[in-house]
Amino acid sequence: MIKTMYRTLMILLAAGLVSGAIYWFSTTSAGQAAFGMGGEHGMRFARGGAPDASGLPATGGRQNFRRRPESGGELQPFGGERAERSGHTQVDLARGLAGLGDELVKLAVITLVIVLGRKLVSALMRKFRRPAPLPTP
Amino acid sequence: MKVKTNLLIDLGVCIALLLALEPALTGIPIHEWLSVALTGTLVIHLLLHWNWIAGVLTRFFRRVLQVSRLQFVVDVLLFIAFNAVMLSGFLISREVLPFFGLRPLESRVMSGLHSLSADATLLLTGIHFALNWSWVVGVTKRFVLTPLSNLFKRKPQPASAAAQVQPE
Repeated sequence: MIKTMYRTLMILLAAGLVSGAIYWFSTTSAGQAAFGMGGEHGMRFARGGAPDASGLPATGGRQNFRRRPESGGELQPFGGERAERSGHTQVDLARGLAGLGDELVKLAVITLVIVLGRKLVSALMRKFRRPAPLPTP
Repeated sequence: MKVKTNLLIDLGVCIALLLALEPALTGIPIHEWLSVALTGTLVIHLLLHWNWIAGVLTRFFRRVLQVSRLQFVVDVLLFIAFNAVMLSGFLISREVLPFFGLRPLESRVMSGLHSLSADATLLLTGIHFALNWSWVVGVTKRFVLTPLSNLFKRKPQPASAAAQVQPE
């Protein structure tokens, strides 16, 4: 029991250290730049930027925002994957099931590629391995 | 017993992870609370494999199987990615933080980090799964396929019963 508690504490401590490092990294300018959100670009993105000829923000926002007619042309978060994960989503069974299938297929493809790749490499290594020299009489 | 527990926990983690990666299916409240539950389950997963973790960690730069070393590196990366997805998700959460009376951050950096680390988690889970493929195949055969095949296998009739049904 004590051993389990000690191990749990170690896991939580490691998680805390990693989380702290990630938080520190993501709140510094270097970390923000790594995610393409920092610096002038990020500031302009956050403000929406100056509109260009199409009326959309000049930088950044063009990729993640679109005008929706139902909201009177107001800029709304685009319903992409990133927007979904940041919370701009409603339950949609059909779209959700399709997305679940998509994630499942991704997982299966990654797994199969690695498993078959390993098998192929080991088979090739067996095939082209130099035979051991015959024992001399 | 331990192998069966491992299999059940791993299956649960895999299903929960796939569901958590698709908030459009579950909605934000289930997405967030499921992820919190997933964290607890992953701590149990790590506790069940503690001996392997400690064994590889102490012998990492010494004599250890190359595959084990690779598995350990992938697992460490998965741990970091999962921490990133949980931290960023927690900071921008709309259900969990307000439940505790806290205000979520409105940060694009955290949203970006959440999306990026979720993709990394899926990729690394696939690699983790592939590196443990032989274990997955072994326990699936032992606990799923063999009991199923036994269920449909025709039992041989005992000799006395066979004699009784024979016509005179």
